[in-house]
Amino acid sequence: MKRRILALCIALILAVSFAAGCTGNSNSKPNSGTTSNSSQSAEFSYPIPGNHTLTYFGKLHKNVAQQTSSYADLPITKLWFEKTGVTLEFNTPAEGMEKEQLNILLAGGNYTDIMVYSWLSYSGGLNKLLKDGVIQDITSHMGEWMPNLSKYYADHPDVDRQVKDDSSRYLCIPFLKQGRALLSTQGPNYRQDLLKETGLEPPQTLDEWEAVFVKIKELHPDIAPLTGTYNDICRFCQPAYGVSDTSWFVDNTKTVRFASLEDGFKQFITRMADWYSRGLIDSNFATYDVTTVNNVMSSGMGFATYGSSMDKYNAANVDNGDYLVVAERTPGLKPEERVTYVAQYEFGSNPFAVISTKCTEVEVAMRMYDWAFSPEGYRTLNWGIEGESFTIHDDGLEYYTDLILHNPDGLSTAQALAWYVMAGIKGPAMLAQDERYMIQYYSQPIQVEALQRWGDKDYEFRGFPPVSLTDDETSEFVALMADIDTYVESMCVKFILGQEPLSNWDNYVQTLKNMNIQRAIDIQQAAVNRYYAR
Amino acid sequence: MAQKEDFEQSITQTAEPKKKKSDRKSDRFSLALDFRRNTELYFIFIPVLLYYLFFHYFPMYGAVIAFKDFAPSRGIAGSQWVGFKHFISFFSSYYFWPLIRNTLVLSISNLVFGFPAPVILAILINELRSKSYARVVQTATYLPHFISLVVICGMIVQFTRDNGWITHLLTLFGMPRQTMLNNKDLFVPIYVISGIWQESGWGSIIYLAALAGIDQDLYEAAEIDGANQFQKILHISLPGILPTIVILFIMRVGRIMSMGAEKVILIYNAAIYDTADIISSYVYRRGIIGTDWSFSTAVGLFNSLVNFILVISVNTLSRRLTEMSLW
Repeated sequence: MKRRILALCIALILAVSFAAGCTGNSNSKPNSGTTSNSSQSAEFSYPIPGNHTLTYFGKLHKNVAQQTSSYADLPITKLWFEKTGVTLEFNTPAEGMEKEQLNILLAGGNYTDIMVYSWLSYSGGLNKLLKDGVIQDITSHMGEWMPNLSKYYADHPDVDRQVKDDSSRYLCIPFLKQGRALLSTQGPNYRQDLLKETGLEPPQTLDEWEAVFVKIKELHPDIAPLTGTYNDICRFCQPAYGVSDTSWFVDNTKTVRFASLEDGFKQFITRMADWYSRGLIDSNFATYDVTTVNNVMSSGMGFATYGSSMDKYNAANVDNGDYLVVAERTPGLKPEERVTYVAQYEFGSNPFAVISTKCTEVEVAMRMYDWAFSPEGYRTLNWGIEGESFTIHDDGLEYYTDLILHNPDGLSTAQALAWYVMAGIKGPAMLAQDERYMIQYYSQPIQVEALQRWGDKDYEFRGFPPVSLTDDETSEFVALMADIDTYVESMCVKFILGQEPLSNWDNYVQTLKNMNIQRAIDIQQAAVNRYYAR
Repeated sequence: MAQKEDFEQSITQTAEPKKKKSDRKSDRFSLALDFRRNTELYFIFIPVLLYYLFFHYFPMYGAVIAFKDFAPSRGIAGSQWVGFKHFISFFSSYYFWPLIRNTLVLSISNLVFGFPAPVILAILINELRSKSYARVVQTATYLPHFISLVVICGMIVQFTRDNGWITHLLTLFGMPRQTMLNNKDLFVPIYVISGIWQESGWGSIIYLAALAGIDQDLYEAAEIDGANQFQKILHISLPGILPTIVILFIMRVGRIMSMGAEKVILIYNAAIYDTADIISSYVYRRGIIGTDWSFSTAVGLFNSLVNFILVISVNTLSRRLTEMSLW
């Protein structure tokens, strides 16, 4: 009996170690084959020995640039270096210069080990960079050197799909927004003090907004009821008609639609033209850019707009009596209706990292960046140093201290955060942002309210996914869309201004077809199909 | 391939008219002999030569990306040849003809109304009796030149809104109250008039210098002969500065196709693309924002070619008609 148990045990041990040996061999580099996989991951612990230094390229966030010249001066960066045992040498152009500097870097061929940029906006995307020999494919090492990130992907399959490419390869280390509060940082906002004068309830549907606008126009003929750029107006009212708030969306049958061709879009434009003719839309909207809209709102010449700058408007009017701008949800056609095809994705809107072919210590780079996705790294990069920048309250959650929220040296919350927290400055480490960071950062109740109201939209059918086009598709698509975008915008503005009668809508659609919009739709459809096949 | 390079070379040779002039001169006599005679002068010339080689000729190599699909990561040499793809793409664009038309309309209006303005201003200032008053006028008129274009355009856009003071002023003369920059017929006047306001004072300086160079005896003689003020302007001042006018005119014509994009981009909007969108603003939207460098270069090359042809023809015409020319 004893013998049989012993034999069974030995057989089990053999089977287990055999299996472990198999996975170990398939995953690890040949030269690390001497130690078995299970013992290696048990052996590895931070900091990484050997005092490694890697080079880094990425913009210097403006909240840091206001206060110091390098990420290396920040306590949080020092802590990150200390914990991981790796130091970065920074090449950080000022915000706004990074595109130019990146092109110089790429043209010169002296890539840094780590390069952080909004790569989705780079023509041809990550695949082209891989093909041109700029970046490394890190897929085969993910399980071994980035166990924390791999686990994150396993726990969040949606994010996994967004990050990997069409051939299921991992070409980057992502910066992620975790939580819906982080996905809804923009939306409609309006003057609450003026709404009170009208005696109407906060508007929830387009019809209610119209009623409010009419009333505002009566009471204050000088104030533009709805102001903003053409894009702001689209994002305010277009989603109500079920056609996203930009040009492209994927409907519930996974079919790509060009919004500006849809019937819903025609209804939207018709309504806007009606509003414009009745003076409900700012008569100068076509000449506005973001700065002018901010001025119009801050100077009290506008009632409602779309965006994320309500804090600016309120700050400019602290001494101005009742003036208060608050947020409201994106309106639908019916009450309680949640607008579709507008929600953002967790990945893609922020700059993220790639490892270049010039990097010789890939393991060091991957392990360094993987630390951010470990429980310790997640807490440190989102909250900073315990006892200094945050404390843990009785509910077991992290809360920022007064050093951050009411800085004794008079720094603003954003500036104080920059020293201790990478969630706000979005670099140099890549991480998953904790949404509670944003909720605490927005200290005023109306800001927190805004996050909730703006977040009140459909998350099942989101905006256009972060697809990737191939090299050839990109150049064809860019060439097609250059003219189409110009045509659509100029025609739609003219429809709204009444310079082009709506009876010309069919001509407009026909011209778009002549400009080969179908080819552009086909390209997008192919990319979307590949995306959902990931 | 050879054809492309020939074309490239012809661009390289033709884009620098001054160079051609010196080449032609050196054909007439022996270079070796001249070198022996004027060795020092040739040494003094070396820095200038290097400047032109490095900053004007060498960068022209980059223009080959007009015939390639340029990607920064592959570099200029490593990018793939695509022939005339980008030129064809531009010529077959939906907006090609409107762009050419808008560029020409804007440029020619700017030339016809904007070019004489500094000449007239210079003559008017020259006629002022009080020299201190003339200096005040001169300073006041050229001050706008020093205001940043971004600020100027911000002012233009703001003043011509439906609540701006220019709009308000014009409504007193019967113009309907409107956002002037939403009206496509008003874009060209706004562009040209604001240009005259900003630049004519600065532009008049060179004519004032030319006027100062006219022999005062001529005016005295004319006065003795009984010429009035207007006749003196017509028969002495204008002929006196005509060479300056002609040369500046030829140089101005050479820039007809390359209207700068900056001012247009800062004041236009989607409602008036029909008249306001010009080649360079289109290239800006497509090339810089869309990072389509090869395409922008191709359009740039096309522009240079047309400009070059224009300069040559106006210069020839001027030589035939007035015996005055750049070269």
